[in-house]
Amino acid sequence: MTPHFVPYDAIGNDIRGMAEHLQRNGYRVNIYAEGIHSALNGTAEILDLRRHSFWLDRDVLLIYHHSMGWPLGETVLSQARCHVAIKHHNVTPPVFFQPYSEDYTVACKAGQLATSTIARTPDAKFWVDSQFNAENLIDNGVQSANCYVLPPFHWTERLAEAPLALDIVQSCKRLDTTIFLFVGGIKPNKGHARLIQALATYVSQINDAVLILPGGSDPRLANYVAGLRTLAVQLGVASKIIFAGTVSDSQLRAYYFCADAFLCLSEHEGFCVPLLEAMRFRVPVVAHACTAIPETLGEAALIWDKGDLASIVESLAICAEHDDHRRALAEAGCQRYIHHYAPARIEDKFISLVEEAIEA
Amino acid sequence: MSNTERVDVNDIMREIRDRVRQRLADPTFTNNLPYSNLSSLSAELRLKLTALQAFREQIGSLPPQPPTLRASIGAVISQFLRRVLFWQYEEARTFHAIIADFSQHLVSMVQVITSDSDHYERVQSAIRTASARIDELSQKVGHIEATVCSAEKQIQRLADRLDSLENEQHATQHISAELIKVNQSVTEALNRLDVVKEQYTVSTNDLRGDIDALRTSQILGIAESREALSRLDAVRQQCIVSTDDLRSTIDGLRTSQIQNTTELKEEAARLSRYELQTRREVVLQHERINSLLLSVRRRPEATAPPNRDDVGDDVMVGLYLSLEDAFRGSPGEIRNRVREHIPVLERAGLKPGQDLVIDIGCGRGEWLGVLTENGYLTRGCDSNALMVAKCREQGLDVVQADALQFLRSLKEDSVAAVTAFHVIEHLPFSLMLEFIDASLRVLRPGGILLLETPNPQNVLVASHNFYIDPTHKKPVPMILLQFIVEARGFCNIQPTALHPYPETMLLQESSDVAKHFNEYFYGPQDYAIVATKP
Repeated sequence: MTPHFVPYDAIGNDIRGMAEHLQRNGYRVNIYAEGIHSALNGTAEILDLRRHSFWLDRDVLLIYHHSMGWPLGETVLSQARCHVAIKHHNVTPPVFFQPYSEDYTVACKAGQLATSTIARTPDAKFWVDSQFNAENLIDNGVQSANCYVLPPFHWTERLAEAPLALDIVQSCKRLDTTIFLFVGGIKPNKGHARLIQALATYVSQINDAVLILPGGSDPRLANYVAGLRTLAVQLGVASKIIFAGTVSDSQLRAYYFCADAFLCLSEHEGFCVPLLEAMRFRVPVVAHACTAIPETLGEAALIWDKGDLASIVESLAICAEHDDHRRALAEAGCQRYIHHYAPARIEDKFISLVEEAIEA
Repeated sequence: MSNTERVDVNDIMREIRDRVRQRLADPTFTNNLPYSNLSSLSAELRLKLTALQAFREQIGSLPPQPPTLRASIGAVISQFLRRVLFWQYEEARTFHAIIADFSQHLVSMVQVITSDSDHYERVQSAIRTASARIDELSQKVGHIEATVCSAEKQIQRLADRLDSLENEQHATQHISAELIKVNQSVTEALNRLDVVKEQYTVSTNDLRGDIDALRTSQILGIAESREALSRLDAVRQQCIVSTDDLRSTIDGLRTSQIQNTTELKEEAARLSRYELQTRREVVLQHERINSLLLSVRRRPEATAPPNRDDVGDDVMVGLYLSLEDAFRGSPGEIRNRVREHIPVLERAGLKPGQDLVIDIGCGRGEWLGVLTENGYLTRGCDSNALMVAKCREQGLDVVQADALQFLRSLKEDSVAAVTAFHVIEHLPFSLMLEFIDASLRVLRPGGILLLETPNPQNVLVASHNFYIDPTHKKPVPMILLQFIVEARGFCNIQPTALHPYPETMLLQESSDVAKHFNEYFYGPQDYAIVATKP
């Protein structure tokens, strides 16, 4: 169950990955949501309390994906007699959205309240994307013994199979400059202002470069996007930032191919799937230690204290100018991906958690 | 080990920290955007200020234009309440929170500015020191200007060279970038190759297993083949033995076959003799019947007492045919014998299809048949009705008549050859002379007379064989016939001894006695005389 089932979304990919793997292991799977994107029609059903009652079946395992306040879902959880596993994807603190969107602020606040509510679901197993998320649940009263870290299912391998968008590759080649990349929706918690500042410092101190930002934006956050463009103009790097918007797999694959470094200065991340993609595609990662970012990256990236702009800019210079260092970082990231986040590893752990939840 | 494997992430981070320290320690490091946290804080402040300004515009703003009067009144009341209770609403608290956050950042910025003031003082001191140094250096500039002019030209040339080098460097950088991209793709390809390599390793192991299995089966097959070869060898030996047995059997069969053939030949000869005897008896019966018929027809005429030595012509007609069949030889044998006289005709110049050959006493027609085969015109004459009938059955032109009467009935010089095989020994001497004379008359000049008769020089012929035919009168020695024929007017007499006994009957001794014995007993049984009419 999930409030909204959409494609190209970390939670949506996690749900689809779980469903496919369960079906391969002989389980019958149904996906229920209150809102279903048209691209996913036929793969899920609209949750209707009048028609559905699966949560009353003791032979059912309900996997509830929590990322925001969802009254309908909370109602189902309160009535559930089946096995329950809650996948906590973390709720972005509303403080990030307060300057820009009342809707987002209200939703985030509701989500935080929902977190404290679902944390009290009896006999539920709690699966989290990261230890950071687990600590959020523990702060809400969940026993640590009931928290299990399960990295989210991701579509990195499918992304790897997508053919490179040659037009993107050619356009990046024509830029003839260093390319920094950050993938993620244009949202306040993603730290885009810090990204723009880092780019401006790099361009003034080190060398010319371009920052490419694939990721869609919500019209309700138009103020945020406008603020970013204004900042870019004030810092003199407006022409060096490319807001690529929502891109296809082939285009995203091409951006990873062309990038010299992946820069992540997010203010709040529960896991950050784009970091996996960067490591998988051998793009060295430069980031700051914030929320779940260090946990996801381990020692396979250049991670600095939050606000250490000097080290971040020097790290970008290292990635752009030193081939050996760049290859070493790329190899370290790839190895971390293989050993910790390869689909087979996630699948095995997922099935073991499912069986444990069913037996409980 | 590659550079990639040697470089550790922690080493890279240490290197970065050193670089940062170096940059921050450099007193000449000045830029529009100082390399410090102040700039990032400033950026955050600007961003939040923009949002704050945008949010401020929204405070107290009315909802979208209401479509109804009630909605309009409600909107006005809402606006009044918003303005009156502005500070009590959540927006106010939020606005305050934002202002507080903004203020906090401002304080942080001030603290940073304060902490940077010491750095600013050090920079100012460095600038003053540098100014004094500049004054000293300006005095020396004048001296250097002279050399600068001459160096400018070199510098210009170097600049041009640098431009070209820069172009080359750009190109090299471009190539390097391309190489990097290629390297990345190669790395990815290598990753894929690793996977493929694993697959090939598995396939190779499978193939090795298959090869081992094939090898094992091959070894087993070789062993089986060797066993099979051993069995085949044993079979071959058996076959050899069987072949020897078969050969022995075949030899035995061949021997028995020869014996059987010999026995069959003997049986065939016996049956042939039996057949002749049977024919003879049939002929005798036929003659008896004819004689009885004739005797019935001739009664009551008185006839002279028969000469006990003469046999009636009616009896001899049938009997002589039987005699011929029994003692003369088979028609095929006779045909083969007489065929050797054809060259005589050819040497005499007789032409097939043109020249007439008369055969006196043609008997069963063997000579006439051979002549016909060779294309000669023929006519035969025999006194025996059965012989004549037999010849006519073969399609031969034969007349039943007395030999002399027949010859005398022919025109003079009308015949190319007159032949008589085993005829003259049937004639008394006087009739033989008449016969020779008659032949001379009918032959054309150059025509030939061919006579064959038994050879009385052969003791067996003269004492035994000649008398098998009871119609023989006297044997005619070859020298006598030669003399007579020449005396009566023929020339170019050519005698030929014929038909000696087979060599198997000869005495194999090399003594004179054996030689003479063989000559007189097993020598030519017949002879022929060829005489030409002048």
